[in-house]
Amino acid sequence: MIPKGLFTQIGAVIVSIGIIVTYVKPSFAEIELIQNDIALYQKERSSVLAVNSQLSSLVAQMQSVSIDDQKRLLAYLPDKIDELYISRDLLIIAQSSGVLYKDMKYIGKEESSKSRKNIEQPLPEGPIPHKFSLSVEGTYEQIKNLFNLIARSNYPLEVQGAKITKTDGGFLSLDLDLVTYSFNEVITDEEITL
Amino acid sequence: MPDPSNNSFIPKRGPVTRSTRGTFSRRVYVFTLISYVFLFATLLAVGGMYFYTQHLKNQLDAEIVAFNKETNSFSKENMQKVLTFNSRLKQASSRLDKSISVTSIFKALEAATINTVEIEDLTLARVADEKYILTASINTDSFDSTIFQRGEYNRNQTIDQVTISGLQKTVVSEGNDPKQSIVSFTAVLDIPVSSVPYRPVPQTSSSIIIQNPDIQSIESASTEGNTGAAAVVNDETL
Repeated sequence: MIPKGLFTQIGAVIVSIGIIVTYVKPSFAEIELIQNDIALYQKERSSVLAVNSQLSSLVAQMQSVSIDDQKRLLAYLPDKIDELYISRDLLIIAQSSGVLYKDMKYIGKEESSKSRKNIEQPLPEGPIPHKFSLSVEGTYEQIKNLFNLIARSNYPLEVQGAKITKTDGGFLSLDLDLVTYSFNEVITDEEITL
Repeated sequence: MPDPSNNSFIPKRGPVTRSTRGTFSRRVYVFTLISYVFLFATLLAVGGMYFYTQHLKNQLDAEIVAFNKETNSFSKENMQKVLTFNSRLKQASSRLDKSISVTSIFKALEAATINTVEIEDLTLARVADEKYILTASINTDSFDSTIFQRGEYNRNQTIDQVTISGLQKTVVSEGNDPKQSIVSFTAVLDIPVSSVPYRPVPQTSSSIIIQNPDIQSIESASTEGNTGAAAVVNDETL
């Protein structure tokens, strides 16, 4: 004879298994997902925190640069060059060195060797070169003095080319190609991941 | 002697034998135990998991809020400023590192040029940020001087490579003077940028102060004048 309680016990076991299958097991999966999400959020939050902290540090470092130094940097590499100012400076440099000023031209933006040839190529990373030409006459010492003053300018005036020839009366004629630069506001991926 | 108890009218009962009462005993089966324990454990687990899931959900919500708060505190403007400043510094540094002193090139040339040669003309060309190529047309009196001059250029520390080309000997006579021979050649000197770096020196009292620019001269000088906005701070001292 089968005892009465056996059916109840079997029912209890079946109900338990049903609860495990329909609730407990999915709950385990849900808990695992939530725990993974929490870990992910914690990790990403710590990354964001690190970036914010580094950014604050860099901003503080940037602000610690004196106004004078910032002005010097801006003078050395301006956002945009003003060829009138540069022409004026070159004229004054020429006059100060003692050479006889003959001619000066702003040739324009020079094609950098790194310039992209098509749109798929990355943008050039260096500053934008601007070319000037200057022609003067003078003695050897005056021309040396001119080069010395050009080198002492508070912004880059690179000598790209120079041609010195003898002229009548023992003077020298100098044709000079000079390049100065403006800031190229292209932020590369490398700089973003600094 | 007779037993007085035998005289009693109360019928005598035999010795009391304790009747065996049926004791209530329930048989507990192992399966019964397991099934109830299993059921209660399941119910307990359900309750525990429900509350734990709720706790985790609350924790996740808190993490999301904290994450959003942290991301919202990120300043794109500051990031842009820092990147721009960094980029400007790098570009300026790259040019500063490659700035050279042409005067040093002339000094090296003076030191390496012997007395018997005469430089007719000279060109200087910069090749990227690597080197300058100096090409000089030179006259001298003999091949010996040419050989000696080449040796001097080779021995100079500033000059990296020397190429002599276009060697030519001509004989000229000037009036009553005996015939003179002139040896002409072209010397191509490679001067690395790294060997003639510009070393900034502190400004002395002889530095140029631009105060009153001659406007007329400037206007005549800038043939392609463009009156763009002046972002340059170069009107102070050079």
